[in-house]
Amino acid sequence: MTDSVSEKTGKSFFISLIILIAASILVVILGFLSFQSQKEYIKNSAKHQLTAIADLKVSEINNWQKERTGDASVIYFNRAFASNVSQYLDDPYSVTAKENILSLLTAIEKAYRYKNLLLLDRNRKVVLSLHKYDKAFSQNHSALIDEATQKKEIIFGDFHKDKEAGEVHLSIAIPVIISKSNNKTVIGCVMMIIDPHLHLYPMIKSWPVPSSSGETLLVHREGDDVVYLNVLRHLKNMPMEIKRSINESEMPAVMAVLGQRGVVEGTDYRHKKVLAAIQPVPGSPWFLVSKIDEDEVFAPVVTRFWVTLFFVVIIIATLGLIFAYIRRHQQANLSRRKLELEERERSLYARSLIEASLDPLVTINTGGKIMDVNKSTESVTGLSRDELIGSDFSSLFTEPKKAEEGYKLAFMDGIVRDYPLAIRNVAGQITEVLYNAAVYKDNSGAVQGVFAAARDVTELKRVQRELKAAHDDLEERVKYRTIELQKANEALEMEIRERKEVENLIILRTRLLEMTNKELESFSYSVSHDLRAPLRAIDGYSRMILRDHADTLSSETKRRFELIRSNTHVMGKLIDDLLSFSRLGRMEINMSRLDMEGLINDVWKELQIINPGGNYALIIKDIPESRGDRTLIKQVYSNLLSNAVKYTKFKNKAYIEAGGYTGGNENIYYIKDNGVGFDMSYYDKLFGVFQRLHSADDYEGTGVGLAIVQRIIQRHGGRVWAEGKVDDGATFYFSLQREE
Amino acid sequence: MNYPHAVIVEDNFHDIEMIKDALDNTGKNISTVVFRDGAEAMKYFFDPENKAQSQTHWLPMFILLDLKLPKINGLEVLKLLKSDKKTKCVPVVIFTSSNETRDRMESYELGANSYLVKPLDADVFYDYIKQIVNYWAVINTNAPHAGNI
Repeated sequence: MTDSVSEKTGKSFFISLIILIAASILVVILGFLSFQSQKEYIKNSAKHQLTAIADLKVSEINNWQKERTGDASVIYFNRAFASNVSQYLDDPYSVTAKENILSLLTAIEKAYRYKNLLLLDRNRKVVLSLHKYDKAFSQNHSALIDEATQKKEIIFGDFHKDKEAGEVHLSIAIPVIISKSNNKTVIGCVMMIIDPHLHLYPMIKSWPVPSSSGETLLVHREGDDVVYLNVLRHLKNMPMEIKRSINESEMPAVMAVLGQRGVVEGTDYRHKKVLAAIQPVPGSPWFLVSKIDEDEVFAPVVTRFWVTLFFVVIIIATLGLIFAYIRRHQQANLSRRKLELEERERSLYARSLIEASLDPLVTINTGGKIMDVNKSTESVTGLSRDELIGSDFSSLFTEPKKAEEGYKLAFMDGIVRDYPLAIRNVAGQITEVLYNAAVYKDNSGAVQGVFAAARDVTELKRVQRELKAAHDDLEERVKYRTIELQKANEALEMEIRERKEVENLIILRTRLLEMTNKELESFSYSVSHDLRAPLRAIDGYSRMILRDHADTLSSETKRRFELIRSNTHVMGKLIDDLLSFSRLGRMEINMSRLDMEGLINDVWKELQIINPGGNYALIIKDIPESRGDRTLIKQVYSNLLSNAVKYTKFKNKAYIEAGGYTGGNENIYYIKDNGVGFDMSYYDKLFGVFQRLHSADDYEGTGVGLAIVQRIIQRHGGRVWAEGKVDDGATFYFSLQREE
Repeated sequence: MNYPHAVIVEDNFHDIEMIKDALDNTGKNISTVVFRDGAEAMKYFFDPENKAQSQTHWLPMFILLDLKLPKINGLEVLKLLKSDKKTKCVPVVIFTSSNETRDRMESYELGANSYLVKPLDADVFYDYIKQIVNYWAVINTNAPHAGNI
């Protein structure tokens, strides 16, 4: 529950945050748009202002030009002046003519403060001048004079710079014309020299509104240059000293001479960004450029920007504050709700704990009346909650007086522990209990009542009784078992003793066996040697007798002596075999890899040397390699093969086969022959020492060969066995452990 | 004492009888000195009281030595004979019933000149003695002078 609340809080927080961010973005956009429109508005009004100023200036210049042309017209249209000039040119000493001319020129000069007025004759020679003039004057103004003379009109000259004085001025050429019967003749020329500093420049310079950078330029083109004709606001140079190339196309002045009109944005001669209005001055080669720095134009824009930003920030901050406030309020609400919820859960939990308690719980007020009970109390008393509340606590017990003393004790001491009482329910059933009670207080510390918990000990007591019985029983049993155990222990000890004796006996026997083995070996060894000595003597003496008394002994006696001798030889062979058999038990086994086929071939060759000329065929089949003592295994094959040879000697065609195969973890080898075979019923005698199944007369031998074979194979950890049938051959098998 | 002679160290009476008979049979007229145990033999060779030692040819052509002897056994006798410069040049033929490899090896290591196992067959026995005499008494003539080296 608390989780979902916090989840909700998180969700609403997230949404609110998004709304806040969206509102902030909107405010920023609106601020930006308003700023942009304001900027545009300012720019446009600046443009309008510039255009108006340019128009004003152009019309001012035009007016000024017209005024100057008006001044010139006074001379141009004055016939009296023309005749005076004519007279004066014809007769330079005509004082009247000269005075008339000078009075007019002076009047005009005074009226509009011309710098100078000059009269030139037909040959462009200065004949009269109000002030000093430059020597090269005629030359400098020849183009203008010629134009006026030719066109017979007033010509307004361009700005001109004197080479000597370096002063800038403007000139107006007025042709002096004499009309004789529709024939107009130019007899001279009047030049009016205007100082632009006097009226024109201040007029251009003046800006109708207060401005820190507003300026009007008057320019004309001279070749590939733009020449600034007026005094510049931001440079100290003299007029017409500043020139800029027409390649600098970003300059409004250049734009002007290249034909552009209207309002433009560009950089001025100082390379500062400007707004400019371009207007050509009609009837002149001049262009007027009214310009103002963008910095100045946008100065209010910057202010507006900061103002806008300020408002945007204020609005966002306000939104943020509102958001934070709402959120805090929400959270406070939520946490309050959460607390309430938790509180309710806790109290529910506490109540359920009380209800879940198996112990009857009761609260009692100071008057001993029951105020509250749990389910367990209802079930133990058999009364309902409604019946119980308000009733006397002590009435529930078999001993009401004792019960009363109990809760009074609780009120007095604050706590009572394990107070024994017995509850009698409506049906009269008794429940033995132990009461634990403690006072509970309100916030001010005043005792409100007693909280009493009863522990039903009926069961406990029953169990205690049973336990005691069980315990007694157990003790009895333990006693009995202990006796049994003691008996078993005694038996066990006896057994252990017996076993120990047996073990000792085994050790003793093993030692005895080892000793016996050793004794047996030395015994068989010495027996073999000591038995030979008398035999040697018997044979020796028999030989001596036969040799020394050859002529006196009967042939029968000789034959019997020979029999004595051959018997000693047989006896000797028996002893030899016994010796070699006993020696097998002592020999060390040297294991190595054995090529069985090669080994069999070696044995076979040796056998053929011993028994030459037999009709034998040995066939060696597939035979696996093995591990074993080379000498001993060779002995095995020697014995088995010589047996095979021996028992096939009466066969027309003796056939002996040797082979082997792998079976499990051992290799099995066999020697098979088609000889006389043997009776399987005597199988148990086959591998015994000195045991023979055939007559020694037919088949020589002592009966040790197979015993030796068995002993060798047993010492290798293998087995020996045989299969045979009388007159149908025999097969001898032995197994050897496989190489790992 | 007749010379040349052979020394026989042997405890078995029948073997002594047979060896003597076999030696006689060779027709080489070889006299024998017989000792029945190792101690007697040692006395002959190493006791200063032994008057025989003063004779020129007191050392035998060869010694037939059994290994199983009372008192001092054959290997011990062999060892002493072969470690004394007087006697070490006398050929010693071990003539024993033992066919044990260990006895054979030990004998050769101690300097035995020959090792023969007494054969059971009397014919072979007589043949062995004949060969011993042929080899040590006839072919090897240096033996009698060994004492003077």
